[in-house]
Amino acid sequence: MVSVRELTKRFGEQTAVDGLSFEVPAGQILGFLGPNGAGKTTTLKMLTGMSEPTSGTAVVCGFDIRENPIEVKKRIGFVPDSAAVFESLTGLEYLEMVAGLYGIPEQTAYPRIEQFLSFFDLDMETLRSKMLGAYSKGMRRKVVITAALLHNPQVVFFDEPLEGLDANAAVGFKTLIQSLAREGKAIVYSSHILEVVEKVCDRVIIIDKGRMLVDGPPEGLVAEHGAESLEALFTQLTGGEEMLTRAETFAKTFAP
Amino acid sequence: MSEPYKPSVESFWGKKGSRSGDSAPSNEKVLRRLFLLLFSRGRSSRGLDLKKLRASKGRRALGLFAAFALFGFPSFIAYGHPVAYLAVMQHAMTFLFIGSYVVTVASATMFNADEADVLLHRPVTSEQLIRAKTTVLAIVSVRSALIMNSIGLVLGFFAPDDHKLFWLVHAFSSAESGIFCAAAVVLAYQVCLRKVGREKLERVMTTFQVLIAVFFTMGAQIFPRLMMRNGGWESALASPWMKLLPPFWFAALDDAVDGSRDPANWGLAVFGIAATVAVSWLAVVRFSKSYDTGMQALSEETKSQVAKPISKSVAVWMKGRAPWKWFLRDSAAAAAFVLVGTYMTRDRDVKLRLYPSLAPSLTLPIVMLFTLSTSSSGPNHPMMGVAFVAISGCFLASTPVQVMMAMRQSPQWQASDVFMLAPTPGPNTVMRGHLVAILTFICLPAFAICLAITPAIAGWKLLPMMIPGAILMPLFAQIGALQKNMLPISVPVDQGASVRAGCLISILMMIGQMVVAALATFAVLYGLFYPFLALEVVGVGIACWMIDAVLRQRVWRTAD
Repeated sequence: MVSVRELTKRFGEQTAVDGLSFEVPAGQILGFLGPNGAGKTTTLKMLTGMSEPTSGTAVVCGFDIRENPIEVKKRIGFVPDSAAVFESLTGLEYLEMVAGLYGIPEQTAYPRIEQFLSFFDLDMETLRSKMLGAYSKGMRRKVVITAALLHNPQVVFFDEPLEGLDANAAVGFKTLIQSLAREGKAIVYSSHILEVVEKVCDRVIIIDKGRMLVDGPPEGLVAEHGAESLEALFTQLTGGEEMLTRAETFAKTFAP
Repeated sequence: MSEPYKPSVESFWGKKGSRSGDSAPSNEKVLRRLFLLLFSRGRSSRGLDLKKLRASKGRRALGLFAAFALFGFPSFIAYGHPVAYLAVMQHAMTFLFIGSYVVTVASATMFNADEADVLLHRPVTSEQLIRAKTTVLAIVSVRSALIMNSIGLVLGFFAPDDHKLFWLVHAFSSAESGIFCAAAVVLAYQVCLRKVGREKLERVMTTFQVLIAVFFTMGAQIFPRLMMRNGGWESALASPWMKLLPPFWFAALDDAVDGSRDPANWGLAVFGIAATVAVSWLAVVRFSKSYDTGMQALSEETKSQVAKPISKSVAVWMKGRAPWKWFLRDSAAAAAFVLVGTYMTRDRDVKLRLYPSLAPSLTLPIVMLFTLSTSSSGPNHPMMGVAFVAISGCFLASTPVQVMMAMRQSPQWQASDVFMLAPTPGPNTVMRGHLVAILTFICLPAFAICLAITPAIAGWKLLPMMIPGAILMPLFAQIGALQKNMLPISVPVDQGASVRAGCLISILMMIGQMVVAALATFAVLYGLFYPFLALEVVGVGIACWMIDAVLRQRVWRTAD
């Protein structure tokens, strides 16, 4: 479903993504991990056609992202970490606008919107009468997730999708993406919440400074590197241990 | 879920009754509806619900209608004149006002950073996006042009001879002028995008917008004067140079169809139509690919900023040195000074709002001084010169308030909570730092430029006439600080209520400026200028002290 070869992105002299190569087959949930500034969001933006790669190729659902970006975009869903929306539309107007952009006819869109409202337990009156700017962070995130899945995409990219969701919604969401994978969708899941990634993902890629560090099933990687958990492995690979020492030293500066 | 699904009132599938149900509208139609909706509502909702928004939309539309109709009032100068004169006046005013209006709104419509995350991963092409946006800008521009020309349409009936069709032809040419303005602005942005590339895009676009705003403002001041100089409007209309200007192309159509019906005007009229079509084609077809570059640049903005080291703000250097350190003893005031100084030079959104909005008040005094030097009444009527210089100085006095109004709006308004979280009893210390920054970076340099050019234009003798305006400036700044929500970067963009408040303050300040300038002129006439200055210093000093006492008492309002 997703095939990435030597994907590279440079901003001037800075290399944000440095020759990444990986594949995501149908039905797999890939955890895409890395510390801040590692190049995760830039990679996702390239795979969703939002940013042009400096070099390398990415084929999504059989279409090259550079040659056929529109065909790729028709088949993917993306939840950006910013959860950006048009704040002066109501939630309902926003979802209708998105349905319109994917060419979903009114008769098909309505029941689908209803299903999502029901799943996320969204209040219809608020959705119809309040502008998105007035929504809580969690509610806005639910609308953005709905908008990403409304057209039933074959590949879904999630960038920090749980931010702002309460515990119940987060549990529901985890179940949802596992169900989506069982239906044959490829899912790329980028997050800093490693416990969730460890439970939900079939495979994990950790990148740092734009380069791939490891690629494999979470339990396999943990065992291979002799780590206690995925979090410990992540810390070990991305220089987090040094951060622990620094945090202890820094905390001492607060002593009276 | 408690309620069944019902489509929204402003559904993207079309209006009730016209929806087919089993087919979806084209992407372009959806985008057009989206951008029209965003334009009429503004980009941030501040928690309004639909009912309140409709009322706010109505007020906003009425305000805009009134403003544009007001701009159409100068047409009365053309009352009773031939169609050629009326049409040129109308089209010149339309071109200048609608042009500057479109420049202002086009930036938010064309380059919105949040939009990239919402739309760029959806199946829409850059061509569809730019076509939809240009159409919306053209609709807005044509509507505004027609409102602005509504007075002129009626005046056509009073032109000498029989001109029954003037209203119809002029409505067409006004719409043509509106389309030309919108397409020309979009094309200018596209050319910028193509020529400068992503790296320098932000800086070049900001500079471009500021220059365009200054151009339109100066044009609105200079054009009517040009028309009346050197042999009056007849020779101005006959000048071949004037025919290079777009308003003359559109006016030629009016004159050819239902004015003098001079066949020579047909060439210019056809050229105007051809130019409008060509500019529109270049903007939405030929250069549409460059738009993709611009949108991607916005999407990657933060990344590219990381790559480029940013130089230290000059405000940081200033805050510890005299005379600034005397006014910035409080650390919160110093922090606000650095924040405002940095945002004025670094933040794209603030720059785009601040400098174009300042263009009128900074260029008007200069234009007035130049008018003095070129007017026949200049050296021969000394009191006229005195009044002109006094008015120029007093105009500058209102710049602090204008800067405050522009600086308070920002998409990052929620970050201003940091002021409330700081251990300060109220907003006074932050406002002090804000005011010092405004005076340091904008007002005093502007005043210095005017002081420098005044002797060259009006002579050394008139230079003291700038002083009443300088004395007035701190008072106006304090009055501005008294208003609600004047903290820097603290109000969402598109805050509707601010428009009314801003208009009221501007009108009151304008009256104050004129009164002080008139009093200063009379004081010169009766040989009492220096006693007047002394009186003004005392009056302003007392008023500032009283306002300062009120500001010191202010405490932070609670969030609820």
